[in-house]
Parts: sequence; C-alpha cells; structure tokens
Amino acid sequence: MKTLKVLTLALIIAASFSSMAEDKLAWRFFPTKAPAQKELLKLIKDGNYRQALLFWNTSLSGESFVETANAKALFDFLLWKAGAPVLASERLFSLRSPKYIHPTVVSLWKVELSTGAEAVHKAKVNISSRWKKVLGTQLSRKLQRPPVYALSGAKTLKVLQKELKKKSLTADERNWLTFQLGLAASIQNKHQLAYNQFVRLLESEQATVDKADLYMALARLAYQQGEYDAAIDWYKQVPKKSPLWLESKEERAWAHVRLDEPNKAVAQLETATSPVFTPLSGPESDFLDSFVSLMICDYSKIFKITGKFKAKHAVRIKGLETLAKTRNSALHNQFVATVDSKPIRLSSFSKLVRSLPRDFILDEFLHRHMEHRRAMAVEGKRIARLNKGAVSLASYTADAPEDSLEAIYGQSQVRAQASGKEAFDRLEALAKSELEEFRLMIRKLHIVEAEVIQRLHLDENLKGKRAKRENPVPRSSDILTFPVTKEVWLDELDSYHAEVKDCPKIERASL
Amino acid sequence: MKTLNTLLLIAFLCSGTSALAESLLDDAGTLGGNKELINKARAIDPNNRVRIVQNRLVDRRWRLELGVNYGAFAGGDPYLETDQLGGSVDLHVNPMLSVGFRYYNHSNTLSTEGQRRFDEAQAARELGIEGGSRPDIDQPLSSYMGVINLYPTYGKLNLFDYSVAQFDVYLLGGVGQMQLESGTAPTYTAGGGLGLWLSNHFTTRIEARYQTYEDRAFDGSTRGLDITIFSASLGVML
Repeated sequence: MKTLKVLTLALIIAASFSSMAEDKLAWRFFPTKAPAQKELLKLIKDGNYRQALLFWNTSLSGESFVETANAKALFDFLLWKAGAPVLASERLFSLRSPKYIHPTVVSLWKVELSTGAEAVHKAKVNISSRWKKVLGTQLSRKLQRPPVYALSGAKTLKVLQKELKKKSLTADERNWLTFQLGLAASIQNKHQLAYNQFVRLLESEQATVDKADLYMALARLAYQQGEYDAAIDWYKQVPKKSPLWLESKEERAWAHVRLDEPNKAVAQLETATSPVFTPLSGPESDFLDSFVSLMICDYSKIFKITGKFKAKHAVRIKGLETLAKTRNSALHNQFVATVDSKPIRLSSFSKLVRSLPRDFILDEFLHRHMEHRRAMAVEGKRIARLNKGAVSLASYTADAPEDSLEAIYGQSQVRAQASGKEAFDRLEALAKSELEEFRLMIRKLHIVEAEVIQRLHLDENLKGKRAKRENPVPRSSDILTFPVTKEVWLDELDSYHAEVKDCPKIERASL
Repeated sequence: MKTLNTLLLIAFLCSGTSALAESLLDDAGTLGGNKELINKARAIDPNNRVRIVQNRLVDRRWRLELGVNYGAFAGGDPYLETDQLGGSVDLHVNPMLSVGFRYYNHSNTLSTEGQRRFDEAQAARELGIEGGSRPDIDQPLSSYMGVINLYPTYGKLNLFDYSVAQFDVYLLGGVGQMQLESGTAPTYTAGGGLGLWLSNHFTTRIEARYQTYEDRAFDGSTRGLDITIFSASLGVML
C-alpha cells in the first residue's frame, strides 16, 4: 500500500514536471532574461492580454526579439485580444515570412481566426500562399472575403465555372459563386445558364444569398427575354422588408407598360412615387409615371409630375453635385461622422439619405470601404482608451516606436483616412452616375411635355370618347375600398387600384 | 497651326465645362413652366380613378363571437337607476350580417328622487301620517333577446400609430323577454353601434340602442317604458 502511494505521488510529480517542461519548450522563443520579461510572459500565459500589451515595449525594450516574426505575430495577437482585431489581422497578414512564426503563436492565432473570420473580412488583407501553408487551405479560404467579379467581363463566365468545379469549396463559397455566375450570365445574355443558377439557389436551403436578390434577378432575367408576365410574378415575391422592394415596384410598372396595362402600371407607380418614399425614389419613377399618363392622355397629371419634379429632387441633386465636385463639404463630414459612430445600415443615415446616391447602402464596394473606416475609427478609440492614464496619445508622432500604442493609434487613423478617401471616391462615382440618370430623365420629361403640347394644340378640347379600360375596382363584402387622399397610411402602400380611361378617339362617320 | 489647334481645344473644353458647371436644378426648373398649358390640361378631366383596395384584416364569415358587455340605462323609470352586465353570442354569417343572442343581468338602485320619495313615505309612516305615497316601481331583473346586426359601412382606425384596426358601423334590431319583479314582459330593441376588430380574435363594440317594454304597477295596470341603453363590450372571435 505504501509502495503504491509512493508510486502514485512519483507519477503525479513526474507528470507535472513533464507539463512544465512542455510549457517551457512551447515558449522557449520568448526572452525571459529580465524579470520584466518573465512578468510579461506570465501575463500572456494567464490571459491578461491588455496588460501584456501595455507592458510590451517597456519589457522588451532593446531586445532583438521584437524584430522577429514571432514577436510581431505575438504582439498582433495581443492587439487582437485587446479589441483591435481588424487592425491586428492587417498587420499580421502583412508579415512576409510567416513560416518563421513559432507553432505556439500560430496555434493561438488559429483559435482566434477560426471564430473571428468576420473581423478579417472587414480588413484589407490578401492571404498569400505563404500564409495558406501556415494556416491551412480551409482556414485561409474561410478568412478570404468572397471576391466581387467584373460581371460583364468576357472571361468571367469561364473563370466562375472553373472555380465552381473545385471540390474543396465551402457551401457559402459555392452559393456566392453560383450567384455571381447567374448575374454574369444574365448580363451576357446566357439566359438559360443564368436561370439555372438562380433556381438552383432558390430551391436549396441556402442563406448566403438573400431570396429577395434572387427574385429580382429572376424577374429581370424574364423581363430581358420579354416574358413580362413571368417577370411580374417574380417581382410580386420580393418582400416589403427588402431594400429592393421599392425598385421592384418601379420595374413591375415597366413590365405592365410593356404589356399595355397602364391601369396596373398606375397602381404600382402610386406606391413607387408616394411622398413617403421621396428620400429613396429616383427620377425614373417620375418619368415612367409621366409616360404612362401620356399613354392614357392624362395631361394634367403630367404637368403635376413635372411641376413638382424640381422640388421633389432638389435636395438629392444638390447633394449629388456636392459629392461629384467637392471633397471637404459639410455632407462629406457628416457622412464620415455617421460611419465612425453608427452601424453601417440605412437607418443610421436617415438624416443624410436624401442627399446621398440612392441605394448607396447596397453598393458592395462602398460598403466595404465604410466598414473598414468604421472598424479603424472604433479600434483607434479602443486603443486610446487602453492607454488612458498611461501615456498621452495626443503625443503621437511619426517617430513613435513601431509597436507603441501611439504608433498603433496613428496607424488606425492613417488607415481610416485612406478608407475614407476610397469611400469618397466611390461616392463620387455613384453621384456622377446618378446625375447622368437625372440628366437623361429630365431630357425625357421635356420630350413628354413637348408631346403633350403638340397634342393639346391638335385637339384642344380632346373631343372624342374615352373608352374605359377593363379593370374595375373589385366589389365584395370582403374587400374594403378607400379614397386616395394626401394623408398616406403605411398599410395602404401597395394596395392601390386604378381605373383609367383610354385616350379619346373621335368616331367619324364614313361612307 | 499647333497654337491654333491648342486654342481651339481650350475653347471647346471651356464651352463644355461651362455647360457642365450649370446645376442640374436649373435644367429641372424648366419643367412644368407653361401656366397656360397647365390650365388647359387641368380643364380636361380624364376621370381616372385610383382607389385603395384592401382585404378585410379579420375574416367574418361563419365565425362565432362571444362577448361580455356592460351598459347603463337612460330614461325608463325615473325612480330607478339601472345598469346591466351581460353576455352575447353572435354568429357572423358574412361581413354584412350577423345573428345573435344577448342576455343581460340588471342591477337597480333608487335614483335621488326615488330615494327621497321613499324616505318621505317612510318618515310619514313613522309619524303615523296616513295617505302618504311611495313610488310604484317594477324593477327589471334580467332580459334576453335575439338580435340581427347589419353592417352597412366600414372604416379603419389608426391605433396610436402602432397599428391599424378596421371597424364596421352596424344597425341592430331584436326582440326578447324582460324579467321584471312582477313577471315577464316582451321587449323590443333597435339601435346601432361600432364594432372594432382589434385582431383576428379580439373585438370590441360600443353600442347605443332603444329598448321598450311594459312594466306593471301595483294596481295591475301596465305602463310602457322607453329606455336608451349605452353599452360597451369586449369579445373573442372563434
């Protein structure tokens, strides 16, 4: 019995010595000559990463270790854990010799990266083949943000089809690529190929691509092929909560126009041009409304539309012109302040939405610049808070040691500025494109007005009978009918029904 | 030649940039400017109509509505103040018509004048004064009746910007029996109200109706009484 006890004790002691030895081996790359360095290592092992970050420079001052890949990767790890993951991942993946990073540090990173892919997606990183060897293909693929392809490029279809043949794709990657292939095929008039991709995504239970995007893509594909009834069926499926819903109303109106159904087009446009949606609607809705009114000879409505056009879009046109021509305006400053302080979604920009390009929030490139800018702003503030009471960050200069918190803060500000500039570049491009659209629509509205003037001169009293279009308001005890008034109730949007009359036709007696 | 070409290029670019320098708002401002034509166009009314067309939020075909209600009498016996607590069952045949059954339990108290008259009579009796009178009241105890509701018009209500509820204005008519202290008497009612359909299962009604019946005096004679009842109810739609 006594022998057994002694043996057990000896085994326990041996095991603990063994784990201590393993631990020592795992961290043997870390200098521990000075007591401060030992303390620093203890902080890291105990998980006191913020404290470790604060003491990094003072503990390792003068050590050649700080120039090694190990030190840089470990420092970036501390930065990640201290609340600056985007900045940390950018610094990490800029290291050129990841193969020299000790497996201990690599394993620390693998744990974080496997659950922190979202942060890496916000970073501007390109995971090189050297990093793929260190992290493994699967993790590397998870960290790489899905690329956006040039859909009208001649080679894009082949590139995408080749990518889709890879067996190692994750489900999300496959869905994204399938969607890109569908879009590219639509743009390049490969209708059947496009249709197959969208339907495949719709029928699977995937969550990578929003269903509203698929409905719109299928609707536009059907429209492109002249299948307007099918297009209308797809447009009907776009849910109201989707940011594409309003656009689906306008495009559905176009489909009704193509089918010579102006009454149904009028009903859709009543929603699309509702004053409630003025901050979100564009000039094409007004042009289409005037065009349909021209189809049915509703001239007073045309002048009503054109008369209100300037007042309706003045704020947006001014905003777009500011974005297209200048850089340091109040609008730019407000935009950046919103990006820095609020989540990137439409509601955050409620005060600016009338001055910004329509659907700016849906632009993938702008979205990525904004996300990066916000991440840098938020992480910069976190670093500043970390150092509070220690060293003043206002004292940051370009001479600050590379791994000092002042330098890190400075880097975050520089990168934020760069993303801000890229966001402004993209806003400028979007603004110019939308101004062109305005220019075109205004010209078309002038043409519509000219047509009205000509018709009024030809037939001043519009003599002749107007035949009523088929589509009476349904009557049933289960259906409620209300008049349209200036007051808009939100439950009434998308519940309009129009009874319109044809243009008058003069019936002449003939021999 | 080279100088001339350069000058021509500069002139061309300047004309282009000066055109671009104009705000688009100026261009937009030229739309809809001819007042005479606008007036001419307005005079021609194409008579097109746009309506808001919505389905009923609450389906009322062959659905049962159970309710509890509270009401107060106005008019009737001047010496009584009567209120009622009751229950109702309505079968909605379609959104325009429902048939139902109502039961009311009446509770009565003496009105101020009635109390005064009773107190006076009591005081006279205690003093031994002969020939005093007290009010001849025949309290309504309960009533039940069958009703038919017609819902000819509808509307909707903005509920504090939180949601929208549809309602129907209805007319009702019914016949039943009134249980009085002295016995039973037939009763007839007609009136109207507003039924608010809060959700697919919850309803509320506000109603005002005229009701008539005959009560019985001590000497056996009958008296016709006309009352107006204001009531509110909460219901559940099954």
